[in-house]
Amino acid sequence: MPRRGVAALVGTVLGVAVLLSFKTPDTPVLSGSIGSGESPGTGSPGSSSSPRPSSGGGGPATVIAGDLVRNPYGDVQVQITVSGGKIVDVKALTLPSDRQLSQRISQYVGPVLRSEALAAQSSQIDLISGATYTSDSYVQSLQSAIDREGQ
Amino acid sequence: MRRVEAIMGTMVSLDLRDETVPDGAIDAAVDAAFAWLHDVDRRFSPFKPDSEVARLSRGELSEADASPDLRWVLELCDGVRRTSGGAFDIRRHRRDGGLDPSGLVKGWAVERAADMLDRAGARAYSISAGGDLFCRGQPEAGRPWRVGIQHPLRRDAIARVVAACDLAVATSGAYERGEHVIDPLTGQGPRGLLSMTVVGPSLTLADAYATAAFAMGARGPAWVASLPGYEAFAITADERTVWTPGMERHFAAVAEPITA
Repeated sequence: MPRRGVAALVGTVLGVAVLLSFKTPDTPVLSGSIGSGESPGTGSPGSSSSPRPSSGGGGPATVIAGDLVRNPYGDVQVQITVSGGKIVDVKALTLPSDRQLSQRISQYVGPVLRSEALAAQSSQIDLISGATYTSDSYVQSLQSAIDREGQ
Repeated sequence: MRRVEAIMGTMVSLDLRDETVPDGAIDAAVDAAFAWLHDVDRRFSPFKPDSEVARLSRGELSEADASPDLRWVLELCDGVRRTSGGAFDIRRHRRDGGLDPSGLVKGWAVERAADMLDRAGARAYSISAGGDLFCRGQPEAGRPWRVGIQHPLRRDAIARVVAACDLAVATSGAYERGEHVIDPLTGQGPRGLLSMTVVGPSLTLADAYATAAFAMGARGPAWVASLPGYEAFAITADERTVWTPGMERHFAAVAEPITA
């Protein structure tokens, strides 16, 4: 895979460069309005790191909370579960509320998005793709929990 | 097997579902993959003063003396810079003018980690670094990985579901750390988009394309539509979603649409 991957990458980059010189940038794009439904959010914290506890590891699991870390969007606190010397679960105890976030974002983008938003839990999501705005605070809180575990 | 570690300023999460591969081979590959990611973090972070990237940025290291990995990354970045007409430019994304290949390095590092798992025989896993992810095979027989695209304004909601099998998914957004992506052509934060998701075979390119297309703003989706093998799904500031024609085959059927 590595050699094939590298070759494919080079091929793709070159192919794209060549293609673009012949293609107009105005390839049609479909678009659609989002519906107006607002759903009560019931999902997980929404980051990719909302793992289920692992059954492996052996030994009793220890649950450790990290520091409450403040950022411009709100407060973040992370809790880890350690079993057999490994982190088997990471959970956000506190995340900025939608209200805090929306207020912050709406200063930049205007009106709050109307959406056919789905609650993450109800739609059987395996993982989330997104820009995690709380990541720095998340990692800081997580690290403090990990440090506590080592004591 | 689940493994989560804090790397590259975010969380890297591996969800390995293989049941037929001998444990020993996989465990070693997982350890090697995470060690690799920590190594990339040390060497490529523009925020670590002694990293190779920081030294190159300060002029203490010449490109010719850089490691083969870094030279390869710079070559890839240059390719995407040309492809994107300058919208992706590691020399101009930061306000202080420092070198910042982060828009490609995270995807590249995770793609290489996935290669290690592939070589060890893993056939069903997902690996995600702060929401940029790659899905191999199927989590359970008969169904693809279901990837929720984060709703940019609602922390606990998703905007759309993508069905992923051997697919990379990368999202760039304004909601991450304020205006963390700067359009090199204007020197400003992008206007017109809240988030840009790009899917395709390579996470290295999906990551870089998402960064570039997000910086382009409203014309980003049309640009991605011109890239063979890559598709885009964007959420605009004026309350609409926009996607490339080829994106539709990646959308998962919605099991339970919620209408308030």
